Amino acid sequence: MPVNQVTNTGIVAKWQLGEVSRFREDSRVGTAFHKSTSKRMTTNWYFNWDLCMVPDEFVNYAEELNAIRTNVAMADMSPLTKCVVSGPDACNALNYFVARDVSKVGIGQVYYTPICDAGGKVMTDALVFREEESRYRVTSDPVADWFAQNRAGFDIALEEVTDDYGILTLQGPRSRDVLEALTGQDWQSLGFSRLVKTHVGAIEVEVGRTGFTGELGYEFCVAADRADDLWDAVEAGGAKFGIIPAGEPSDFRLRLRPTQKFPVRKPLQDGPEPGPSSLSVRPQLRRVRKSRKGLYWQGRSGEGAGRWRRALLSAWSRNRLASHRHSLHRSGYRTAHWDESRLGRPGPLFERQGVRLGVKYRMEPHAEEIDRFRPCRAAHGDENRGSGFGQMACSRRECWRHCGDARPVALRRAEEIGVVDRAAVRKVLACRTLAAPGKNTLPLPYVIAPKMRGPQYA
Amino acid sequence: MTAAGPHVDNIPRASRPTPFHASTSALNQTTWWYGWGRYILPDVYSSMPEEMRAIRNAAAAIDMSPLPKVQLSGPDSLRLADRLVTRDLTKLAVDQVYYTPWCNDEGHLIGDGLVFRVSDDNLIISGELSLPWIRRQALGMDVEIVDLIDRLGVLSLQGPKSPAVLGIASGEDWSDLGFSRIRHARIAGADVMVARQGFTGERGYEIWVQREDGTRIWNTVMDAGQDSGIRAAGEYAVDIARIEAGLLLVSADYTGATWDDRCANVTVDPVNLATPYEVGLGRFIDLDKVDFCGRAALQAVHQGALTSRRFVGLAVAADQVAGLLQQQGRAPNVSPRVRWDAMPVRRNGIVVGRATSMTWSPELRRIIGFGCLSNEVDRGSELQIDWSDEWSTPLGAVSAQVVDTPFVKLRRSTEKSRRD
Repeated sequence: MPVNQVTNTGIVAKWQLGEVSRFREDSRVGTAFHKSTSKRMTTNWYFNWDLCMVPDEFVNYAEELNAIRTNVAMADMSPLTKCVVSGPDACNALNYFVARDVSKVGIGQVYYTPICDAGGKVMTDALVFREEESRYRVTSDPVADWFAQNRAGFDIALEEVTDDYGILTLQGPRSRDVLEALTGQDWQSLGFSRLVKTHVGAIEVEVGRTGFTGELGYEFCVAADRADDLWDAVEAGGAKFGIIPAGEPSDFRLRLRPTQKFPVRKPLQDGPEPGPSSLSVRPQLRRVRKSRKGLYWQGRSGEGAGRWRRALLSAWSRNRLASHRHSLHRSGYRTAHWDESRLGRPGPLFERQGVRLGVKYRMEPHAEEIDRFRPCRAAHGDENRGSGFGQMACSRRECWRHCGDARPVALRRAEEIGVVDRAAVRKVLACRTLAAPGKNTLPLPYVIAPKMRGPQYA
Repeated sequence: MTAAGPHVDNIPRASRPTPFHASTSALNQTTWWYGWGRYILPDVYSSMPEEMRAIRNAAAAIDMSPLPKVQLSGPDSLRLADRLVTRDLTKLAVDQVYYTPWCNDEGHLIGDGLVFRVSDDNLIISGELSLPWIRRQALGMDVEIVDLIDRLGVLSLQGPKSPAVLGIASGEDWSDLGFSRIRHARIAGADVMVARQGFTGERGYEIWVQREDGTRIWNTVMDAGQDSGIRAAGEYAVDIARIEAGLLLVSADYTGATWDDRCANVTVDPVNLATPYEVGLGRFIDLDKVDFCGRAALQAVHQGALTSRRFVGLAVAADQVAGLLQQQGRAPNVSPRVRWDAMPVRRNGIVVGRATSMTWSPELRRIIGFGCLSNEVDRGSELQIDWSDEWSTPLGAVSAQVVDTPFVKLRRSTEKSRRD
């Protein structure tokens, strides 16, 4: 397997030549919480998220999922990148970068917003925190470079602050109890998407009511050098509520159920003239769009702007969307890839009512790809089998074996031609559209997301 | 939940890159990483079955750097090494490697691995080792014990095309290097120690490199293997390769007699301690040599033929497990990982042993693994495994068949070699 050399631009990064770590030049692999989390893991499985390795499973991921749904769990979300936009034009610049109108975000408030490319396709989504009048913190996939490319004409300062903080998330119906026990304060009145500064013992933290699971939840943002202390404090304080640490997939799989995240389909750092993305994924942006009348923003006039489609996407496909700060040209195939070995780690919640929850892609008949899926169709007569989570419904050994091999189609194509040729990757991806709602798809969200029910939800 | 065990050196688990990290991180296209002791390395680079195919049919580069390694030097180095292991090291020539088990005083396996005789009074032991145990045995001896784990990287080059790849990388011919022999060479301008060894059952080489040369050598070897179809293989593929080759792994198949940080998830159960005789390593015990750890106990076992159980190969048809999962409404993934936990094996309803390392073999297209079974169980017995999920929730019984190990034909020591 060659070290990937990107020939269509002539840019070959040092990591691509295997000279420095793909993650960090100093080869640090953990987050600010690594010392604490690694001690508590009893498995060997780690998950690469952006530049960090985070626990994949602490002890038993089914229990970890269950804790988030029925009790409370803590998880390390630090790799989520954070970027500060400040300066006189911060508000205007962000309004240009993202789809929602951030002038309406109150200080101490958070907005969830998609970020689109010039063609109106979703690149990623983000949380925009307004720290001060003209200072915003954007939590998202890595966007700083893309902001920098599009900042011309705006008087702003951009600052990458990901490594300065650790993010510890508390998720689950009892998360408020834990938070109240830790801080001695009443958190009933903190509304969804609001944040305040407070202390846990002597540790200064920022607490936001947010999360990625659909459950009641809070996130601590803490200075990196106090991260381990905070972890210990939360673990000690949460012990009487039965808090357990949860690995990354627990978090990612749960997000499927309230359906609040949509994946990115193109690299964010794609050069000055990003072309249209190949996958027609549209978020449910109608609400967002309405609020932006009269403003110009990235993607507003995109060619797909009028068409909407409810999209179900794989938790796994999100994993490696544009989420690597160095991954200039990798996203195209990393997105499509997941490993058969991890495909079906079973979990009771995930399979409730005998239904596998997840994405369904429909593969359009396409010359290059159709052969890969033929055995599944032959065996089961189901066109949807062999793609996305559709294959999970198939218990035939030869079928899942086959489907497993077919998974990284774009990657295979890239390998067959020897270099990562983005045009080829696109071509492969272009044969994918999302399955239209039909008899085999479920309405979203899978569960009613309690986190949105307003501040009184207990 | 318990913590993952004592951290003797205070270095968090999975917190350090190996000497090959710059290269392997660029090659890993998945998000899956594996914590092995204090190091982290790729679990799957792209696709486990493809990595397996490279090991069996072409060549694969495997990062084995986290394997503990200790250098013994000084006048008493051979004496100490001989005291630690069960094989007679006085027969070990310079530039030769022995595979050997090592035991505690009760004759239970601590682990197994390789002893390299680099020069007359300089030996290196690699494998699941316990430094405190070695230091204890060295009391009163004139020997220097150096932990090499952070200094050296081990690139294991495995597969039928590995001699050709190594030849291109080093500019030398490797066809005459016998199994378990060492030769020093230069790759990418750096000195390396090469031993013909491996853990996959295929012909292969372990390339020992200085940490600072790691990336350069890895990249050179990968470039040299382009025409041979070389791939980097992750821990998942390597784990299955060793099972297919019939090689038992401490902590997965039996419990090592000292703490093993790699296997924090394995319940330490005295029942799972094993003597070398029980795991089929009896031929590596030299009871006639000078006194060594566990000798008295092993002698008693040997004389009394006390082994009441042995390891055999087990095979299970995957559709049985799939059927079970379907009945229970579980995901139809018959083998999410190699099962490092044990499942009870029954004959006529009575437990006669345990099944370990059960996994899907892409080569054999069925589920294979090891059975640690009572001696009374003969070939052809009808056995059932109490199949459970990865967290020991019972799912139901599946029938299993006793088969020969290794599951695949071993090619690692054929061609101009000795079986050491």
